[in-house]
Amino acid sequence: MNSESRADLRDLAAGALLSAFGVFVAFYASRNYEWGEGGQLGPGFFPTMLGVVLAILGVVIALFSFSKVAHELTPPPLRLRPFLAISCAIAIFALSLERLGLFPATALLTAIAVLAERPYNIRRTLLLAGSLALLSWLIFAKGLDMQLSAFGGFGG
Amino acid sequence: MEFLTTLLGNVSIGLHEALTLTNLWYCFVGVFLGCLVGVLPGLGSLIAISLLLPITFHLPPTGALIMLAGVYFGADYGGGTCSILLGVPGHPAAAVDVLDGYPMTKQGRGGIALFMKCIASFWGSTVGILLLMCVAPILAEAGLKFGPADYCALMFLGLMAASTVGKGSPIKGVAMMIVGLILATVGTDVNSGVQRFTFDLQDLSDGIGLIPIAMGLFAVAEVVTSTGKAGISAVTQKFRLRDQLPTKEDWKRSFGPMLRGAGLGSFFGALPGTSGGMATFISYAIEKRISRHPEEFGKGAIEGIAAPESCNNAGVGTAFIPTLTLGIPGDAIMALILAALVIHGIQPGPQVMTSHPELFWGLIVSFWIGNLILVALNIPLLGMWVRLLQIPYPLLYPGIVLFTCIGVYSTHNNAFDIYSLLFFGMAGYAMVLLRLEAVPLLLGYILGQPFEEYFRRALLLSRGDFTVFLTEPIAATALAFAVSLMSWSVISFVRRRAK
Repeated sequence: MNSESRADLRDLAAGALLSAFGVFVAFYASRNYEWGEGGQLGPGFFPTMLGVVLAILGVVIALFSFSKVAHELTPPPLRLRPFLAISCAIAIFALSLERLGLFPATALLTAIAVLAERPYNIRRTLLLAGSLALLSWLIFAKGLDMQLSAFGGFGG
Repeated sequence: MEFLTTLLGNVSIGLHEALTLTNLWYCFVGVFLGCLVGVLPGLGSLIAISLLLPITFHLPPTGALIMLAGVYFGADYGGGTCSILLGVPGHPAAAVDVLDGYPMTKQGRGGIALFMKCIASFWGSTVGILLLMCVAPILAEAGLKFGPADYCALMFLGLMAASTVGKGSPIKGVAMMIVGLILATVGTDVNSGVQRFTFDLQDLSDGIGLIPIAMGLFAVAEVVTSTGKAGISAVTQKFRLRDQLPTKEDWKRSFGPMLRGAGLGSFFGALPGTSGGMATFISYAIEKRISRHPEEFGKGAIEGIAAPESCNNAGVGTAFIPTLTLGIPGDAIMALILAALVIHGIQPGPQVMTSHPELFWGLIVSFWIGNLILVALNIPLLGMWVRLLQIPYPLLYPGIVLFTCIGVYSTHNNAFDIYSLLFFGMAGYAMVLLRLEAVPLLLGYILGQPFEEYFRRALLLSRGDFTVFLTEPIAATALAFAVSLMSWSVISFVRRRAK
């Protein structure tokens, strides 16, 4: 488990982030949306209250991080490689789907997503990309009548 | 007597609807796809439902819900198969199957474990569904008399229960639930037409999409967490039909546990926040306590499969009671099913049963048919699922990522949804690292709009008097439960820490 003498950094970070988010929401909502009066609550009331409660809970979580910790959930270690590979794969797919079409976008997604694992096997990747593109074309464009083009831009 | 005739009348409405060829087909496809996704390690029913939710957009409402329910049953079941054969829970709720199922596999009795699981789950489901059929009309009738304050308080109870009864910190659970409620306010406010938190982005005026949130937080985050891990051991056993048949002794030992499991599961399933395998572990513990040979538990006792499995499936049936009659889901999966109702233009609540009887009863009858299909798919075709389990993860996960991307795109044909998916995928991974649970967030997000709606309506009716939540008896009771639940879980959490 984590070091028991000092603050649990993960909890501290979680509390701080949640608190900051809560403060932002409460501040933004109270500045921009009406609070309402009497029985007629405005659009600002609910988010402001939620933001305030969240900010308080965030502080509580952060304070708890200084107490001795006995967690039941062991968090996995941070691994940047799969995180970056899969995030990039999704981003590239979003960029290329409407511009290049389903097949090229799928090929790009596959080629980048497989970087999450080592070793890189080029033949397997190509086969995988091809079959995935074909499969998704059959399911989504043919089976579900989605507006997709196999090659070339569309939509927009 | 009158009760029985009404029940039979309702069942016949349901049979009429569920037994049409198209609906049978949707049910079959749902169960099949559910099994397919659920049997893969790490992919549970929540992920299976969010992955397949976009597909159901293209179907008529009844067909869509029948298919989703099928996916749920299939995925829930498939998770247990993975637990028994690989010793790795397919998803957290199936973790209990590892305890005795995996030892049985190592003793060469894996086929028997799977067979008994199939029977126990079918038995449990039957009990749960029968209860659902009997209790739902009564609760729906009561639900018609509830006011907005009552609904608001009941939703609050559901939200609190789902976010505090977990493994992690209850305070974090509530915080995540509130984040979900906040995310639900994004978009056009129904009452005033004001655009909230859209930051002048046209794509946000309808709010954040449910599908990108669900898929990002669960599917994408799960893929990122699981890639790069060590490979999974192979299954070498053969699974012909005669390897699966339990002995007379097995049957005798499983009978009692199945009965008790179903009873326990039915009770817990109907309560909010008890999903995720809590009841199954309780049922396992009870069987171990009363067994004449408790030393066999954990080393391949068949009771350790029969009881939790029947408990789990009975609970699945009764979990639909508050969801379908009051529109108040007890867990995130039920919330997703509710969201599917809303997507198809059906406002959940006690009036569904009277305004859409064919949908309501058709859906319930199809639950049972789905479980029948499950038995048919799993006993003879076990070999196929076993082979599926052996697909190496590196070949699998790019497909999952691709499927999530196209799935979210298909909901609006808009690339913005893929960017939302990316955002929530990254957030989901960060939440895993920070030990923040995603389930309460999703539940809060789905219930956010009706919750705020009921809250505002309740205050409108009481002319701004906040004590309405304390003077209405049902609302006050629900709030009292919510508060005591919260204090109980915080106290036990703090005690756990102090040790």
